[in-house]
Amino acid sequence: MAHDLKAPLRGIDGYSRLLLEDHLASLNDEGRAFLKTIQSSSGEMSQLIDDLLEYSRLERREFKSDQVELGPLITTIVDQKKREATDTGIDFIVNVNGGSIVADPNGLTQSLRNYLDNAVKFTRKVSHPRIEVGSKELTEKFLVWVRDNGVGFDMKYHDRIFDIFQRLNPSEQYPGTGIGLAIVRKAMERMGGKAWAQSKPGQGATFYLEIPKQSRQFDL
Amino acid sequence: MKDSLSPILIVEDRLTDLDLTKRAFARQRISNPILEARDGEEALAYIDKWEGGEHRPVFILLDLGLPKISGLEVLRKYKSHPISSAIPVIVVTTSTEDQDIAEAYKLGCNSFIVKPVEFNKFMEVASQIEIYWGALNTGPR
Repeated sequence: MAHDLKAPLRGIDGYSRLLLEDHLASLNDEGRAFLKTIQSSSGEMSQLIDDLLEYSRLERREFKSDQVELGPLITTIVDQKKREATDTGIDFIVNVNGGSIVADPNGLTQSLRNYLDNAVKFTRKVSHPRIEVGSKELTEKFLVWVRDNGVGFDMKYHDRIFDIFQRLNPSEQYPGTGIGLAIVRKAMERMGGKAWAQSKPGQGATFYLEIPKQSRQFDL
Repeated sequence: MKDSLSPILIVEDRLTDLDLTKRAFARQRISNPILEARDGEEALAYIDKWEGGEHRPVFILLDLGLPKISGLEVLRKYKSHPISSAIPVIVVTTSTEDQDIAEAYKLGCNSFIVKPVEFNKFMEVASQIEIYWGALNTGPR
């Protein structure tokens, strides 16, 4: 039974919304602005709790060694993200040769989703956003990458971005909890793989997953 | 609602969640009487009342994290008692644990809904629950 960590947030969001809807006339502009900040802060807290629970679940969840077909898995995840991001005008390109590996499908799916979320977020302000997902078979492993033409980052921060709660941009510019990439790294380490990135400021970024063809559980 | 006399039972220990659920129903113009239970014992005490002839609810909203007797235990007893086994029980909880979901369905819950934080989404959920379980669904007579 999970703790109901979000219960107080329902009260905060619910009653601030009721105040905004039912008592609007009694509030001046400043009062309304305060309430909107309360609501957006409550939304941030809710996302933070979700991400933290996901992070801790990674440690507790049983690792599965399933046969995974990379091509269909990647295509399904990208298609789903495409549907979610229809209003962004992002050009999604999938360039995957396929291949079969033994890996934890949940960890792999979560990692790819988080990379895609990251790419969607950081291409928001470019004029022709583009995300390319590719893969390459190596001797004992597969390389999967998500390449974007977004804001990029300075490589001196490379290790920090995979640490939990680390962010390189103010949250009002690029909202986020700083947990997504930490989840990716942890998921990859659990299956004996690696997660890293290459980038230059203003020139997009490429995020890599290196997955052994025969993954097994590595206790961290 | 097919039978306007039938109440809705909300089993919820948190006063704010109970109040917000009632407000969400009221905003969706759901006028069925609302019965409340604030812990597992109070929830199970309804079995005696229904056996005594009181109106059974059209559906039950059941939280899992309850004081005294857990929501899963309440669910088990509701579903194993002839007076309440046919009443739709909708588990409304914040838990997204696979184990809770599997256990709730094993014990016979009719639906498992994760409580949204945002009140607007909460109202949508209240509306959908009422449309499905209160109007569309036909239970045993």
